[in-house]
Amino acid sequence: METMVQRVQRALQDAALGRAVWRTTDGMRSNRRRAVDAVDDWEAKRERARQIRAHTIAHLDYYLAQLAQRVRALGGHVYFAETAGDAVQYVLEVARRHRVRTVVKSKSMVSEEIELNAHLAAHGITAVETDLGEYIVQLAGERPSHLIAPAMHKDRQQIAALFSQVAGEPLPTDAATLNGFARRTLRRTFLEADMGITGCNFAVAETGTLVLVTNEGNGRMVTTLPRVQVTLMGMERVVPTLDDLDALLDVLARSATGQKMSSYTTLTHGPRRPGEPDGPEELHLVIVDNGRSQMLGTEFQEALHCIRCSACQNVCPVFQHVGGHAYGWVYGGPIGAVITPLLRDIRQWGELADASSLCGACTAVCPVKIPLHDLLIGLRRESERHGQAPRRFRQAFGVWRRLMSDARRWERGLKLLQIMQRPFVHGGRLRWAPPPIDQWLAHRELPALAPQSFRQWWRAERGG
Amino acid sequence: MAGAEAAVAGTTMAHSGMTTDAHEERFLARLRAKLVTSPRPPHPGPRPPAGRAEGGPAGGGVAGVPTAEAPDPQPLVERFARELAVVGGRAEYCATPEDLASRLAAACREAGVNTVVLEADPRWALPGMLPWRQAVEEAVERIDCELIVPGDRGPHREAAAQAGAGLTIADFAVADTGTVGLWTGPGRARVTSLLPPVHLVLLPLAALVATRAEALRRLAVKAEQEGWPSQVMFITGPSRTGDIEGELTVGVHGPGQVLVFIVPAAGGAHAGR
Repeated sequence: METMVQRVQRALQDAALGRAVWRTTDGMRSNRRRAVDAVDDWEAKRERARQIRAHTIAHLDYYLAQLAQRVRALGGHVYFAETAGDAVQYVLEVARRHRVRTVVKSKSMVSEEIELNAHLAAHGITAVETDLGEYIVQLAGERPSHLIAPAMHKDRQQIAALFSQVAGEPLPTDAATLNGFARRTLRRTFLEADMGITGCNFAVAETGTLVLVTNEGNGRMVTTLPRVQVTLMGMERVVPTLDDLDALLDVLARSATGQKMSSYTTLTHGPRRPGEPDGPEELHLVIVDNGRSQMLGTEFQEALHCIRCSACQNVCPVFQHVGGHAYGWVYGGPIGAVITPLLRDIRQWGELADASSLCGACTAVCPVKIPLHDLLIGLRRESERHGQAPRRFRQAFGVWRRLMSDARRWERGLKLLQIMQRPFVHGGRLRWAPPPIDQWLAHRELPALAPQSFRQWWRAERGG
Repeated sequence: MAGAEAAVAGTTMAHSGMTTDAHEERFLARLRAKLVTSPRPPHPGPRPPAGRAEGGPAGGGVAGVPTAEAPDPQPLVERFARELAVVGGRAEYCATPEDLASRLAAACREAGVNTVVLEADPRWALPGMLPWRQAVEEAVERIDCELIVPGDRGPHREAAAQAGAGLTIADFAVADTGTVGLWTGPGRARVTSLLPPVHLVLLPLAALVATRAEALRRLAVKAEQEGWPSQVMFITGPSRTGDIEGELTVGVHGPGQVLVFIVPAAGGAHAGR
């Protein structure tokens, strides 16, 4: 499998990608900044949001039980899916029973985790993504590259090319025409689909409310037109009360897009009632674990507080340059670097935690105050414990530890290095170093050791 | 709980031979076991109610007419209109039915609307709403536009899919965010505010509150009395996307225009607490 370093190197060579990613993250950073500055008590809102999430995850079993009971009382079905396979099987069963041929989907990152679309296709069921960005990446056969702007890595020429293939004729590249094309094409699909599959931004335990936060209206289409609705929910999305929902909505849209509220925030309580002309006849809530429970009771439990706003992605100096695909799976940026190794295999994915300068910008903007950069350090430690640190890395630190643990050894080592470095110093900088330090030099400068250390100078000054 | 499960037998899933209850219990027990050593921070508790006066001019006197009990609605209306404008919608205050008729006619003419679809909202039948209903019919007639009431011409979906505009009476509205709120009920069709390219809203003044928190409280009160509506929609301006190079485009799947007409009516709005 490709390493992250290889994916990053590829991304850095793609100038168009770099421009697209920068434009998106830069714009979203500004929007968030403006929205947050307009609020007097932003820190108080963050703290309350943090407390709500911390309390909820610490009592996850209680709130999920309450949620399930309420949703069933409203006439919905609830299924607890421990694994990706369980979730896929359940959805396939529902689809089979209702003879579903076409599915319309609104954004669901959980569905990406479990690779639902591929499984549906294998059973002859066409799933069409209806969020415009998701529609674009689906046409391109790619994964989303950002939590809320899935196609941000594409420019309008690439999008026009994709749409033109569907249209069967070349389309102009202006946003209005392209959007109009998507609206017309997807409108037909909405009206004909047998089943709607949605994600879930929040699920309120006390009331059985399923909450969708969207801007386009596709979430409303998907929960209104088809006769069957399936909602996939990461189990950590539960929220205790409606008032808690309000507190989290307060910080979500501002952190994500800089809005006070998204265009459509939809609260669903079970399927349609008798006498209502539209809405699904049957509603299924699939509560998905898929590795999340691994984080419970560990130092990484706070990662489950995430409300998927993407603020951390937009401020991350790594993400800003390479975008989400470099992370190799569904989730990118700081949150992706934390949860991917934990949801999957840390031995294979632990390297994601290395893609960080630990600047802490992610922690500073997180609306629920997840200490992301601390969790990244924790992951590096966990990785090392699984024997994942490269051998030369461990050798180098071994040498460092021996030098540092004895003052005289340190002095002698230092003097030796001062002599040895001389042929390689030029203009106060090292021009060569042995591996693994040479990797540093590939992209950065390394100042040379001073010809005389402070102690050496002091001793000389004081006359020995 | 077991009774409810049996009642929907044939549609609940069994997992590897276990009943649904046992399967759920195993799932939750696994979580409980992992959380056993975790600290258990308490819930932060209820938020203190906002300092300034919340809610709309509920109760006391004729709706829309300031009285000793009902505070002046003007600041709330102005705030709502301002916030809605920020997100690309438009709100106008119509003091009389004639005012509504002319403003609505002008808006439909400007938007090039040929057909307006209503939903079979029981509130249209309220005596207090009759003058406003007549104003809507008057407006539509003035510009030679067609008014479709569901039942006239087939199911809601087809009517809404072909209409130039959908007209709904707001169930609530939030001044802080410029949000219009709708919920479902008998005769109420979600597609009315979703499929047509223009969404026209009749907002009774009594339905306007200051904050989203207040709106959610009113919703909870209604749910207590009448049960939960299958869907509650918070609509804040037109449909939008920035998915193509971050360029904002309006009217992607939902309506591209949201035009709100605020009228001094109770509209059957819940007073709330």
